[in-house]
Formats: sequence, structure tokens, C-alpha cells
Amino acid sequence: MQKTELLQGTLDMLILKVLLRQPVHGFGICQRIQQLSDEVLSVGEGSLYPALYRLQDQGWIESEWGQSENNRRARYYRLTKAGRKQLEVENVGWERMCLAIRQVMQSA
Amino acid sequence: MEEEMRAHVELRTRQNIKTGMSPEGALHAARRQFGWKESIKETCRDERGVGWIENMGQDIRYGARMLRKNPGFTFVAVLTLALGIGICTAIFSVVNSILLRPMPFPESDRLVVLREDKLPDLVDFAVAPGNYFSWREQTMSFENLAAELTGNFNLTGTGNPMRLNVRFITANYLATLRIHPLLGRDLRAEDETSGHEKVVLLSYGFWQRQFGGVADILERTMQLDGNTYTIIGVLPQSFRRENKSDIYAPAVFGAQGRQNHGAHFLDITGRLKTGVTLDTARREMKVIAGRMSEAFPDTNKGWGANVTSLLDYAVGPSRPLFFSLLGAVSFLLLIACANVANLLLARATTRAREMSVRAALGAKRARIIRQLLTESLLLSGLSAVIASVIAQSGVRILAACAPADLPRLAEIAVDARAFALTCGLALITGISFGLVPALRAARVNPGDTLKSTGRGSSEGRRSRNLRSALVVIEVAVAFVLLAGAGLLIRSFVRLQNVRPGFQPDNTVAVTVSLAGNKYGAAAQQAEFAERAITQLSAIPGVQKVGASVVLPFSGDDFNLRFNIDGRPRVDPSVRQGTLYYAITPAYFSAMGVSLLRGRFFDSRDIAGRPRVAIINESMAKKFFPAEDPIGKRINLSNGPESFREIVGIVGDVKHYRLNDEGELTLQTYEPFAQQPYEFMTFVVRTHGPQTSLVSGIRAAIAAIDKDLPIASVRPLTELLVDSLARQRFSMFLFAVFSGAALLLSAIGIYGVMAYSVTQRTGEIGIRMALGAQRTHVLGLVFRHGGRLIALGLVAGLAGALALTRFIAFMLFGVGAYDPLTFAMLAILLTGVAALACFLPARKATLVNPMVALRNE
Repeated sequence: MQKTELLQGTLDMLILKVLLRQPVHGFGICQRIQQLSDEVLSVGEGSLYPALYRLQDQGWIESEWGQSENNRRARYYRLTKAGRKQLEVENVGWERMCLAIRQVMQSA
Repeated sequence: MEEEMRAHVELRTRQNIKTGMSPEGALHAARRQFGWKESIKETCRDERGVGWIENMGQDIRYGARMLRKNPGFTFVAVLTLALGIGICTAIFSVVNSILLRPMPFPESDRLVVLREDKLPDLVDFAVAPGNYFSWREQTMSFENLAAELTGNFNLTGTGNPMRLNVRFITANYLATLRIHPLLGRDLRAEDETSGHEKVVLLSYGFWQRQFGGVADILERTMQLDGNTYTIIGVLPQSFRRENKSDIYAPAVFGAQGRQNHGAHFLDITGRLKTGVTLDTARREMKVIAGRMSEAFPDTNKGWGANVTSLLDYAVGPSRPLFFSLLGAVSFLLLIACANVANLLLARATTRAREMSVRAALGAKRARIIRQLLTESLLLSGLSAVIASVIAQSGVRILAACAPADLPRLAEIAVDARAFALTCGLALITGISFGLVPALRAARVNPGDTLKSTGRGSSEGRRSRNLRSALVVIEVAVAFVLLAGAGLLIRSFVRLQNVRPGFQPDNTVAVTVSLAGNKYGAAAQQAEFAERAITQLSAIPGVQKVGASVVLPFSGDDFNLRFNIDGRPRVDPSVRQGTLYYAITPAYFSAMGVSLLRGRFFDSRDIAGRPRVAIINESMAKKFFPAEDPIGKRINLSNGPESFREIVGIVGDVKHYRLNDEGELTLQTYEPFAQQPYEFMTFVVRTHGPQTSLVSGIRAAIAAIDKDLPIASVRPLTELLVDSLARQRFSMFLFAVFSGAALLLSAIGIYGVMAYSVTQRTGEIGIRMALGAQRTHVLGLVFRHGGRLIALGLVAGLAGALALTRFIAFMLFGVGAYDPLTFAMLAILLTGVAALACFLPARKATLVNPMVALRNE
């Protein structure tokens, strides 16, 4: 499996998107991203947790303790209202950048 | 966080098991996947930004550990900084307390001192009562003008008679200063009139000492000079003036006194009206003085009035001394900071590798900088604590050994602002020299630093040059301070060796004031003097006893105008005065003054007989250069005209200071029996040290009059030593500063040399392997050090030549550019510096070439 390097900003966006539907714990976020990207993207814990703390600091996600599948305490993260808005913003930015890159690559 | 990570690992383990791994394998794989927990934790913590207190705690602990690991560095750095800050704060505090802080009176900037002058001879003279009262009537610039003079009262009726210092004040004195009595009432206008004037106010100290601070002190009486005085009040503890007074009594002037425009003995303090400037007051006083000069030509012709702010008048003359001290101590601080900077630079270069390793392992630049900052702060903080202790004791020591006549001595205290200022300076030094290399190291690619051995790298060289420059500066500044101290020490020794003109050993002085009605007549005063001398001579061990109305080195003086018979009269506006003494016949032998020609006074020279006088050598040389003074006649202005025949010439006696010269040395003596006074000082010479001399003297005087107090008995040697107090003070301080500077410079040189040797270990090893002798290696180090020292000396010499002129006013018998002093100090400094180089040089010769080369 080829590990594609993720830009730091992109990881933030992916996390926000994963949390859009429902609160998830750290391991779950890793899994979702891996699954949703068909195993192309895999997030290492070394990148995930700092990112989570960063997002918490910015006020875009918040966390609380809950019960995981194997009945252990795990920290669940969920989007805040500000986070929802931020996701919108990042999405728009990302789309614009993709378009731009595609245009360059498809030029003669 | 720990818990969360554990949960994560467990979940992954479960997944791994699902994909078919064994439980242990699954756990293992999960853990490995997770990675280095601590690093993640740290990165998370960094991302968070909150929890900075936690970070700071970590930084502090790390910094403390670093400082402890290098005890030598820490000790020297902290001590250097502490010494620099502490001594500087002490001096700054003293200067601030004395020169800068406003006087301790409400709105003290409105207070002024008025004096009279008669230019060009008399620049600063006391005020005559007649003038004072006229000013009071005529001026518009002052809210209040108060007068004062000091004197003595004999307190009797309470055990031993005591001699009190009295300040006679006009009724508006306290009001002018805006001081209110602590107990009782202020003086009133009617207290100045005869019949109501026997009231006194007690100073706080006297109230405590004499009366134990009892509450019902008011309306009690005291016997002063034989009269009954009522105590009407006590002054507050904070009220302090120069020439500390025990009690305050009204200054009473009769009708005649108020018209006296010729006798100058009052000190005038005034308060400017709001809105009136000093210039306005000066101009007004000029006009008034001019008016009075015309109205009273006999007494006031040529006399003017000047107005100075109270602060200026009190501390102005001491300014040069304090500024020179301030300059010297600033230099010391400069050296201390340079030394600390040197230490920090050296350490930074040593730790460049450590910084690179940490950067390579992922530490953020900001984190490293913050850590170093914390370390510097810790260092500075520790220094500041020790410095405050040094400053406190320093101020106390200064106050204790300062000359007694230093203005505002009682107000010296440690100044918080001075402390903050010097701490700030030290902090800036610590931070800038601690951080700059860290910033540089953090910027450089860690790989480069790790690969290089530190030899010849451009960063190392720049740092080395900076350190060498700092050492050169230190040596230069130390030389300047040494020059100052050396000149002052030589001046002091010269001064101490000046012959005073009399023999001070085994001789004491006792002052007595005859007060009250018992001794009003001249005959009674003369008789008392004779009886006292007889009684004192009878004390066992006493060799000779004499008396004089005023004694040299006592702080008192008696100046009179004179005329020589047969010469044209000197116009009153021209200055021609002599120091005057009324003495008993045995005075000269008791003092040990030599007779040059003619004779001393003897039993012939008493009241009713022809009047005689003795002059000193300077008088003879100046006024009788080509003829014999013996037989000539001289008139003194202390009474109706009466010419005395000169019967003898004695050697010169220094009166005010050991460096008196010129006009201050003209002296004329006449017999006390022919011109008695109600105060006199007895000079008692003993065969050797006598243990019970003081009680013997007290008993002798009490035998004549049990109500007569004597002022303290003081050995003449003590008077002489006190007269040198100021010179001793400045010499002592300069010596301390330059000693500290020398020590710090030596440490600085040692540091640079030791470091350089460590750096060049490889080079030395190579040289030795190629056959270099030990002496060659020694020469290597000494040449390097020698270059620095030579540069420093040259710069220091230039600095000294430029700056010693600022202490020229304190020198005696030594020029400000004295080559001998400079040469000796240069040798001293070179010697100390060479010693500082010696230890590292020796270490260099002990380098084992094999070991050195292996470490390459």
C-alpha cells in the first residue's frame, strides 16, 4: 500500500468531514479515513493526535469521554458550529485548488 | 491523554486480531504503529498552547539542572552579576538619597536659603540680624522668612550637668518648613519678646534619651544656663536638620539687636510665595540689598544678598564627589556585565552541539529559545537576590563610615528604583548574551554543526573575537579605576604625612562654656581659667595644661581684622584678617608648638599690664619680610582700639584642614588673662596613655563648679583623623571598586585563556608531536594573552588620561597625570593578568599530544 503524503491542512479538513455525520473517537477517525479513501490515505497516530488537539484549540471540534465498542473509556470528538462553518470554507478552498491544478495539468 | 492513547491501542489491537494476528502480535503491532508516545505527547502539548505553566515549570527545572551541572560557571556568573548589581545599587541609592530626593519637608522645592556676600572676597556669608529684619519687612517674594543660629546651653539640676546643642529659631521657623510639633504647640510671636522667651521645644531624640519619651512632658521645666525654661512641645521624629540639635528655643533680639547690620551670624531659610520663581526672588533681593547698601553705608556697603534653593545649598558642594563615585561604580558594573557576557558566549559555543542535536531530534526553535531564556532568567534572578543582600549591607556600611559632615546623612536608604535599574541592566546583558548565540545556533543547519569539530568555524571565530574585545575593554576599565584609586591613595598618604604644626599624641581637648550669671564679668572668666588649669594639672599623669578660646581642627574658628602700627590703615572694605586665639601661657607647650623667636606669654601678661601678642611664622614672613616683628605693635578688631606689642613668633599650626594654605595660615595669639571669654577649650597633655583621665577631668572641673558640664573629652589625634574623613571615604570606595574590577578582569582573562587553550588542544597536540618544547607552548598562550593585555593597557592609559581630571579636586600633592602612579599600576595590572594567564598556560603544556590528536 502506497502511503500518499498528506498536507497538514488537508488532514484537518478530512477530520472535520469525518466528524460531520456523528461523533467518533480517535481510532475511529483513522479507520474512517482509510475506508472512505479505499485504503489510499492512512493517517498515522503521530499526525492524527496533534491535529485533533490543534482543531480543539481552534474551537472547531470538541471532545468528551464516552464508551467505545469494547466497553472501554475513549474520547469522542464532534464538530462545533464553528467547525461546521470552517468545513464549508475549507471545502470551497479545496475545490478551487483542485480545479486550478487540473487546469494546469490538462493544458498543452 | 495517556488513557486516550491506551484506548486507541486497544481498539487497534482488536482490529488486528480480527485480521488474524495473535493477541500478543496484535498488541505489539498496534503499539508499534502508534509510534513514539512521548514525542506525540510533546507535539500535542505544543499544539495546544494552553498549559504554558506546565511548560515553564519544565523549562525552569531543565534550566536549574543545566546550571547545577556547571557549578563553576554558575558560581562565577552569579557572583559577578551579584557584586556588580549590589555595589552599584548601594552607590546609586546613596547618591539618590542625598542628591536627588527632595528634602523631607512639604513642598520642599519652594524652600530657599538666603545668604549675604561681599564679592569678591566673601562668597557665602551669614546674615546680620538688622538685614534679616529689614528683608522681612520689605520683600514680597517670600511667604515666610525664618532665622536660626546654633549655640549651647548648660543643663543643670538633673544629675550630671550636660552641655546641650541648642538651635535658636524665630517664631515662624517651623511654619516656614511646614512642620508641626508632635506634642504641644509651636512657638508664637510673643515668645520672641523678653519675659516670654524662656520656652523650649524638644527634639524627638532628646525627648527619648533624656526623658524616656514620657507622655506628660509638657509644662515641665529645665534649668538651662541657670534659668528656668518651660517645655512647650516635642518635634516629630522625622524632623532632622544638620548639626543635630537637642532643643529649640526662641531667638530673641532686643531693639539694638534688630538694628545690628554689621554682625553676621544668622542662617536664613525662606519659603517662596506660590507662583514666585527663584529668579524673581533673586532679582528682588538684589534691589533690596542695593537699597540697604545706600541706607547703611558703614555696615552694608558692598554687601549683597543671594538666594539658593535649599537642596542646592545643602548638597551642591558635594556633587563633584558623588558624581565621581557614580562614574567609578558604573565602570565596575560595565566590567561585571562584560564578564558575564564572556561567560555566556563561551558557554553558548560549547552548547552549540547540544542545540544542534536537539534541533535534529525535532525540538522547535521557539522551544529552545524559550528554554535558554528561562536559564538566563534563572541566573539573573539568583544574582538579583544575592545582589539585594549585598546592596542592603553596602548601604549600611556606607552610612556607617561616611564622613560625619556629609549632607543628609541620616536619610540614606536603599532605593528601589536604583535596584530595579541595575537589575534591568544585568537582565539585558544576561538575556542578550545568552540568547544571541542560541538564535544563531538554531538557525544554522544542525548537520553542519554536528559535522564540524568547532575549530575554525566562522561562528566560533566571531564569538572568539567578541570575547577578546570584551577582555580588552575589561582590562582598560580596570586600569582607569586603578588609576583613580592609586592617585587617591597617594594623596591620602601625602595628606596624612603633613605636619600639623603641633604634637597631637597623648593630648586631649575639653571644651567648657561658662554660662549664666556666675561668670558674667571678664575677671570671673579669667579666674575660672586659672583655677581650672591648676585643678587639671593636679591630675596624676598630667604633664602640661593650656587653654585657648578656640582650638584648631575643632570646626570652630575666630577671625579678626587687624592693623599694624605705623602702617597705613587698611580700608574696611579690604579684606585683611587673621586667625585669632586667646590662650593661657602654657598653651604652646601643651600643644607642642615650637617657639621660633622671642618668648611665650607668662605671668607678666595679665589684666592691667601692657598688652602683648604672639604671631606665627606666616604672619611674620608676609607682613615683616625685611624686619624683626618683635617689638612691633598690632591691633585686633575685637574691642576698642588697643595695640599689643609682639613678643614672640611661633611655628605655623594648621587650623581647618591639613591642606590649608595661603591666607588661612595667618595666626595671632594674645593672653587669655588680658582678653577672657566665656568659652574655652583646655588642652591636657599626659606623660602617656591614662585610663582614668576622663573621670579625673570631670572631677577637676566639678571641684570648681559642680554645675558646669564639660563637652566630650577628645584626643587631638582623633580630631586630626576626623579631618581626613572625606578623603578616607573616597579613597576607600575607589579602592574597593578597583579591587573588585581587578578581580573581575583577572577572572575574565582567565576565562578567555582557558577556553582558548581548550579550543586549541588539537593544535597544541600537533605542535608538541612535531617537537615543540614546553616553553614554546607557554609562549603561545602568553603571547595571545599578552596581546590582549597590552591592548587593554593602552586603551586604559588613554582612558585614565582623559578621565582623572574629574577627581583632580580630591587630590593633594599628586598630579592627575602622575606618571609614577600610572607606571606602578600598569605593572600591577600586568602582573595580575599574567598570573591569570599562567594557569591555562600550564594546562596547555600538560596536553598529551597522543590524546589530543586522537580526539581530532
